[in-house]
Amino acid sequence: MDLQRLRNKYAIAGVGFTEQGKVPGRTAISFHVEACANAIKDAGLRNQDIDGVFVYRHFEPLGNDYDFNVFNVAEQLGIRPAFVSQEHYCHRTWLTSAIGLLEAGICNYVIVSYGDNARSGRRKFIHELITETNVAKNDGAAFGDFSQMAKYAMVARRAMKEEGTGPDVWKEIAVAQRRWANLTPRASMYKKPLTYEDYYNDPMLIDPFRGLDAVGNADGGRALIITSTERARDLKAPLVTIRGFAGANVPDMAFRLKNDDEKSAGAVASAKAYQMAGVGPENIDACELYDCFSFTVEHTLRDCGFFKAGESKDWLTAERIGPGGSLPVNTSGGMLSEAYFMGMTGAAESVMQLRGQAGENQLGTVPGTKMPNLILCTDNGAVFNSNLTMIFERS
Amino acid sequence: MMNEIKYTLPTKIQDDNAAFWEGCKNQRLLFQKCSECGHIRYPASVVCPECLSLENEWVESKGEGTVYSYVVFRRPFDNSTKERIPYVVAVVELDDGPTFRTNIVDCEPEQVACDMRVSLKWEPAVGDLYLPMFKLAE
Repeated sequence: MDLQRLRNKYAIAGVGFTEQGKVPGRTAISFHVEACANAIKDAGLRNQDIDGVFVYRHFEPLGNDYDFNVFNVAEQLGIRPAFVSQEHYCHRTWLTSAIGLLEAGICNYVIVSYGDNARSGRRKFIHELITETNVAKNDGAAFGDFSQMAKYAMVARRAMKEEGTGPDVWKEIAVAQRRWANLTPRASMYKKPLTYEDYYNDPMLIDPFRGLDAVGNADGGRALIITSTERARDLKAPLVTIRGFAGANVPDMAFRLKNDDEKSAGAVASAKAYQMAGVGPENIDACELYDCFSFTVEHTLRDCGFFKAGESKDWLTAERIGPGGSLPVNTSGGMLSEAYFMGMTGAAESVMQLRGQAGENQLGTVPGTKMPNLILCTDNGAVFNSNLTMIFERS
Repeated sequence: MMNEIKYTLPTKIQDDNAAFWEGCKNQRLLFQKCSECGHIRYPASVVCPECLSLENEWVESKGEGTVYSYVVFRRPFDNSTKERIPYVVAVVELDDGPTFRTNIVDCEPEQVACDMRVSLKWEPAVGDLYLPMFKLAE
């Protein structure tokens, strides 16, 4: 379907941050509503203006937290929205759905919210496929196949065979993103440098992945408000529009995914997003990519056409994607080194960079960088099963 | 020699995959074959993902295949696998069936590589269950 008619028709009008990192003594919902409140204030809207609410990927409560739902979030925000959604699984369809609601005229201002007390509550990201009572619950468990880490590592191992990648490439991603985090005061890894030696000294957890190839957990929240560009022009924040976007879902179980699948979710979604935007990878000034693992960044850059299969070992260097490089990637440190707020980490960072409000890590301010006009951002779900590619533009 | 039971994890058997696990008790690796288009599928489902037929029969795989990819667990992620570290979880492309996630056993992890030939080896597990694992082909 030709979606060029939607090019730049919608915008991100508000971004909400919270305290983040290690913030003990807070419920998960408190981060949702703080992030939403701050996004509403950032946009210069009133709470009652929000008529669509998406609670992003939602997890089981930790510690003494009650579980909560999207009604609780809406109630605490004092709103009665026309549309609500609460996502319990890893599909990444929030922007596609939001734009559908806006385009149909069902909503005018859609808020998307992420919040978790994962770090203080010690949520085990890598234990994701085990229940809280530690009883295996799927066929894979019979074979000791636990965690999303193993699934991504499985795709990565095949890529090592087919494309000559491996830890030598992934260390570049880990180190480059750490350099960005070292410029970003809110990042979990601010003032915590990482060397290649540190990377190699980190033991393998699920070979070929080390702990440093994987995200950690963070407390905090993040929210975005999506509205029409027409409405956004009248609001407070500098205008950042959605020049292109597309989602794709490839629901095959992880062990059926093929590394060289040309119809992978990332390849399909990015091709459609480029087509809608009327641009290609050569026009992109920076990337904010979903990085649950270092290899996810490599796989996504390949799917998005920045290099061809087999080229990563030459192309993907910390010099290129780190501060001062020709293609800045994950300029806040990404989820690996800033904070794990899933797709909200990169989307929020994209908008702040294009507004010129990123702070110490602002492109154009960091030596060797320039102010960006177009940022490619991806959200990714399950094991490369769901991809949302967004191309944001500074007006 | 008594069989040493190393694989103690309870597996949740549901209605759709009960025939698969029943086959494992009898050391038969069974997959659903679509009665209309012949597609052999895994994981189990009431419907054929190729032609949407609801008719199928369970057929036995010869258990010969090739390693598509693999990982090595160097840290236990569950108490039940502590004794097994390091162990190999692999994706095997079966010659006569679907892609199957399993373990490669009876070798050092360093001996495993993508595209190696492997064959089925039944390993005794909890209760009367056997698990379909693979070893490097002769």
